[in-house]
Amino acid sequence: MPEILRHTYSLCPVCQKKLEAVYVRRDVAVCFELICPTHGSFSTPVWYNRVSGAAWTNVEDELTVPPPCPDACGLCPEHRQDTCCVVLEITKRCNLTCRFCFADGGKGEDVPFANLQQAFADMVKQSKTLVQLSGGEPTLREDLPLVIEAAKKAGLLYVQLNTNGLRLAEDPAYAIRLANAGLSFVFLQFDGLSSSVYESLRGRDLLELKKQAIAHCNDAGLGVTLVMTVVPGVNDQQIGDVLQFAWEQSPVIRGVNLQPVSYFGRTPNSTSPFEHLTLDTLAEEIEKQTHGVIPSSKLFPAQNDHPLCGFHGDFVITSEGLPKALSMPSKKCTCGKGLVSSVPKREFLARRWQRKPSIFDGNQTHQSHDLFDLEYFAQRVQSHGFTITAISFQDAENLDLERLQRCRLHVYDQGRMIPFCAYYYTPRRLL
Amino acid sequence: MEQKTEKEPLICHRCQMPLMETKTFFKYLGHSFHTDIPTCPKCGLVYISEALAKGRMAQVEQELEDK
Repeated sequence: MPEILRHTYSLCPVCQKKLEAVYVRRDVAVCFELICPTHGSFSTPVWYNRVSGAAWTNVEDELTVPPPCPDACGLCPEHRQDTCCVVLEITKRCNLTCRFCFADGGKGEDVPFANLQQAFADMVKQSKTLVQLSGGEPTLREDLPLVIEAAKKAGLLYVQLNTNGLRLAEDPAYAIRLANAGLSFVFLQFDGLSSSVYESLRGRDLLELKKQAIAHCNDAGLGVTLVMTVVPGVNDQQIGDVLQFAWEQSPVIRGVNLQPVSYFGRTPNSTSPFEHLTLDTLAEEIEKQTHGVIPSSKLFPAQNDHPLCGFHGDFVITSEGLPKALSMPSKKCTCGKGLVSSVPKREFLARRWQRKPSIFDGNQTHQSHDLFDLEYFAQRVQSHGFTITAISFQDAENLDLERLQRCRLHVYDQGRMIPFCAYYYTPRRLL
Repeated sequence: MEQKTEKEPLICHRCQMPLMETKTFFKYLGHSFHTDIPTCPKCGLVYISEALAKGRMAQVEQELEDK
């Protein structure tokens, strides 16, 4: 007998009519379900119970009335969380035509420089101090170093570059120019360790270029976080390989951000064999494919975010080159606290993603490479911290308006801060 | 315990013994660490300076707490 676990609201994936939705425990999975009077019923698995769901249970009060999302997004007074990071599209142009692209980039122009200056000033005024320069492909802008300088000059503390890495690979001096302009860290699209993965997802083999991009960032002292779009049947069996590749290149690689494919932007429909990869499946695969080096028990839903929006694991890479888990399950209860400042989380992430030299670098004979030594531990975490994060973006098939209300990743658009999954929401196309 | 000037040793108030730098273990959030801390050789009382408490210890706490 199916058991209803939670009530919420959603939109019809086709006509976008606002509707009641439920999480239902069925035989093989917990499913997100709704019925549209015009377009019928929809059911999407969100949890297969492959890891214990106890820590992932949503403890906030259920919605009892339909929230104003997404029509009022930008942010409205009913939004339940503070902004952690702001995505800013600085160009629509792109030098790839990827199979999956939430921004559906490639068509359009650069955002005028003056508009970017205004955007940076707006963000600083609202104390939103971490900007992700995104696109399209931001490195196609010849003035990118000036854009970064403008962001820092406006008062942004952290400037992140979201990139496919092609320009970083082709020009060894480019990473140095960006670092000198004030770039804080790089998020590099990195889908796997075989040519076929890139040919399938990005249209051509990019693996060697990705490695060159990482090497050039290393020379420039920039930290790199690998961003892996995980697509079932394409690269979901390379998760462990990518994680190992990443931790073996600590400290230049600061971590891996796993993004199970969502169906929006260029590809709004999930059709067989492509399906949603749930967070519990992802956590299980991480443990399995790393042969237990990264146990799923060390991956936790982030505090204050909706538990179905992602997880994180915090590690330090030991002098033997292996990840050692740092995070412990939080005992802090945040129930009923409402809006919680994102500042600690933002500062924490920035510390991890930004590369910092250790006083022990180049001093391999130091008597203490002992992580129990307080001084060494503190230094090592700064220099060789390593994060594994996952973001499960919502699409038309699993859009939960409660999750939207608790979103901390916002897209800046003409003065408004719009939750990421509302901004890129794409209705399902009728086939 | 009496705080002395830089050149003078710290003295345990109870035992009147000079504290000695001793490897000391402590635990936080499931992790165990050690560092050298002035310790009374007689009663074992340790002196955690403000600089250590607000410096390295606070930093390590911050790194270990869940976000």
